[in-house]
Amino acid sequence: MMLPDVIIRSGQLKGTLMRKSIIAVTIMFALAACAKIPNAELSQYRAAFDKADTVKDEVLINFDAAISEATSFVEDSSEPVENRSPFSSSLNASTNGPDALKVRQAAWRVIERYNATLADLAEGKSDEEVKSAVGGFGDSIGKFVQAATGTAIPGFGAIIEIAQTIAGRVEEARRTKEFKRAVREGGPLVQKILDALYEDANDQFTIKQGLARDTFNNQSAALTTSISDMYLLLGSHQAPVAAAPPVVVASPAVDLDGEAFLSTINERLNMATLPLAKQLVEYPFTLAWAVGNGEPFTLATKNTVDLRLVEVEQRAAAMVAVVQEVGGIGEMLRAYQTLLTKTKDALVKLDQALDAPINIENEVDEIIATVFKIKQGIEKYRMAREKTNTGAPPVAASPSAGS
Amino acid sequence: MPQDPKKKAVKTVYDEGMNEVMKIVGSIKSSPDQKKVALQTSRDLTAMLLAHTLANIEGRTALLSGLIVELNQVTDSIKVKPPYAGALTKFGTIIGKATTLFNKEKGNLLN
Repeated sequence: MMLPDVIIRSGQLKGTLMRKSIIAVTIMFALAACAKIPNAELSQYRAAFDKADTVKDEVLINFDAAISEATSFVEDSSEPVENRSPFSSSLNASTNGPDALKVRQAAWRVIERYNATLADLAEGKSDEEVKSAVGGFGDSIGKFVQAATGTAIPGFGAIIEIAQTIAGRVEEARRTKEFKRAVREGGPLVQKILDALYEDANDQFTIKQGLARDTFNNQSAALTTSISDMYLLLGSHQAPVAAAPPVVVASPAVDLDGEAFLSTINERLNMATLPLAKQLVEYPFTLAWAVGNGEPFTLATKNTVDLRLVEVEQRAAAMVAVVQEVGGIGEMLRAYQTLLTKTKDALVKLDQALDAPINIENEVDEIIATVFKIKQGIEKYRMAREKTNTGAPPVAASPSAGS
Repeated sequence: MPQDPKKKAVKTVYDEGMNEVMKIVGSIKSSPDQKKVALQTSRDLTAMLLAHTLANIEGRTALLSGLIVELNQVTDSIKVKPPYAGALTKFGTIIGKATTLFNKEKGNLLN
């Protein structure tokens, strides 16, 4: 066998080995990167969290107010009646240890930061950074060799391109593994934080409802006292009679159709207290005039009855407003809890997606694309070497950046 | 989530007591003295419920503080960038400097 044949055949053998080695390495890295970052599930989780995040400020403001009111109430209740002041004893109304509001705000921020880090991992900017770093490093080596030897390494640019492609896939595999670790370690902590915030909402509602109920009881006591006064007033007076002219009603009795007046009073009373029917034991009310002897129904008495009725209407409206306010807070907190639950569910789906079966078609397409790029690089290298062996000018060592 | 047994017990006492209170304050037949006692009971029951709830919140504040530290640690440990990228860039810079020095020395030798 002639020497040139040996040289050519050994070159071909080396080329074949090199080609097969690179393809094998590429497939290995491609397979390692097969567990993809579940971007769709990550987006859904972040969207769910962002929705809860938009309402959290209103909830937390209400939460802080609830704690302050509850703390003041408890402190006030423990004081003897004679020492109770309408004014706070100090500027710091809340004595709930480490600031409960600040900790909750920090909890939201820490999840935001965690989510942003997951997004950075998923974005894949580091793949390009690694390719760029490999390209820059290779470029430096090539220039040094050229400076030292006077000639460029033939086909070095193609080798750098291959290295960049492999480095990109290696980085993708590393990112994916890191993402999985981040979700597996951080996910349960996020779940626990969301659970705590969910329970906070329950306690927040308990406080608001408890305070409202005490207020409601006080108003109810005053309301029934007013109604009781009306019963006493009307029940101790004779029904007035409207005199037909020329008859004049004897003073001090008021000229009034007693039955019509009573009917109107009863109607207004029961209309005003209808929303509170379940809480008022004797509802519906039936006011009545005195049976037998009774005081004449004077204008002054009528004015007092009218005043009591207005008191009842105002107190009833205030009690209804208290119930509606608690209802409104309840709706807000239920909606907030629903958003927290959706966020938790989305995080579970993200975790499950980490082990989802691989979409073989997509993976095969990516592997083929990667192998094709490497083959292109090998071809460029081969052509560069051939030009060198035939005496043609060598190919410059600088690889194309970021390919 | 299953309710804490103590919380449930407190709520039961509270609800039962408040139901009795409401029967008194919601009746036109209750005397002023009866209403006074009922309103004091309402206040005491409310204070008991709120104190228990505030204690729960305090406990949860401590729990959240710990979880915040742990999640921050996990986030800090996440390597968004590969550990070797910086090293590659550094080596490239060193080699670049070496090339410049080599060319300078070569120029000096030739001149």
